Amino acid sequence: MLKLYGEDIASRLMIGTALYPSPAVMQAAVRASGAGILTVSVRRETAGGATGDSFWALIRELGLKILPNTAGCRTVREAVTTAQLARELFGTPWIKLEVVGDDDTLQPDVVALVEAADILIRDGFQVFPYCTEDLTVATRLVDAGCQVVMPWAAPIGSAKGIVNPGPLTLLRNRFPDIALVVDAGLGAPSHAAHAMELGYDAVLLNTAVAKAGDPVAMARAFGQAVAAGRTAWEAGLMPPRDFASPSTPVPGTPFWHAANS
Amino acid sequence: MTDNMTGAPVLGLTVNGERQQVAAASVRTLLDALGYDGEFIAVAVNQAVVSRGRWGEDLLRDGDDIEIVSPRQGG
Repeated sequence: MLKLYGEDIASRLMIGTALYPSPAVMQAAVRASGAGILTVSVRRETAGGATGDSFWALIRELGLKILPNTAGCRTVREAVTTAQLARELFGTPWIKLEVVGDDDTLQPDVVALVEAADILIRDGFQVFPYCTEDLTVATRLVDAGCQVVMPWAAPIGSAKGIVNPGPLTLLRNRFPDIALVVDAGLGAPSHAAHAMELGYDAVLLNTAVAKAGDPVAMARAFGQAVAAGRTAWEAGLMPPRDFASPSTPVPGTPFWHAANS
Repeated sequence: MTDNMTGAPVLGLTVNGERQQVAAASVRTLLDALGYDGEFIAVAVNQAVVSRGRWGEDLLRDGDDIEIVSPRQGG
């Protein structure tokens, strides 16, 4: 079973709560996905409003583990304060740490990320850092005390799938005891299966389900793909090779002569 | 300057990015004055979280920068 910071999680799919056509569809999609963890954010509340209360009521009905994020933060200070606000709101030491480094790609500012992770871990947080597939950055995050590392597949919301599988495989090989989660850039269930076939412990996605024609059906498809990919990894995939190898036995082929082989 | 009704000092505060004049010395009186009645909110003053247990303390100062946040959708 997936274990994150000592907690057993029944599902290897983590799903976001944003961009759905309606709150009801969000709830139905989350249930159909079979996800074990939900991501949420912290945003400014308007005076006289209770937007947060109504959203939180929907989330609590789902009864899943909550992973708050620091989405949109651009500096170490913003990310640290947002994480602390999230801890106050949600009562969890878990934080999906995001520090945006570029507006067009939303790629993480990995230098600020490592610094913020270090500060938060010293403050008692259990950090889920959203990072690139860079080995050195992942090493710094693990050195800081991260027990989970979440590299992107591709930019957030891009639906490109895993564009750089080599470095992701290297991370898996280097960090056999760290929970690795592919976070961001997945567009199709096959992309999620691909991540799991690389030996990743889980995937985190949002847009691919929320923006699907039928988010509930797509959520179910992603849940099935994650399960299939995990089973495939556990079963042991054959290594690829450059030339063909017949699957049907060659000896006994009609008209076959040993001298021809 | 103080508010005639409550006696609280009128402070120039930035609340969620907007400059305001509010008669409030504590987070609790600020939330009441601005009409925040949600249960699930968290507050930071000058980028430091003020936990719920300290909302009654007279800790606000003129020029403070305040963020009032709540749970929202996220990926």
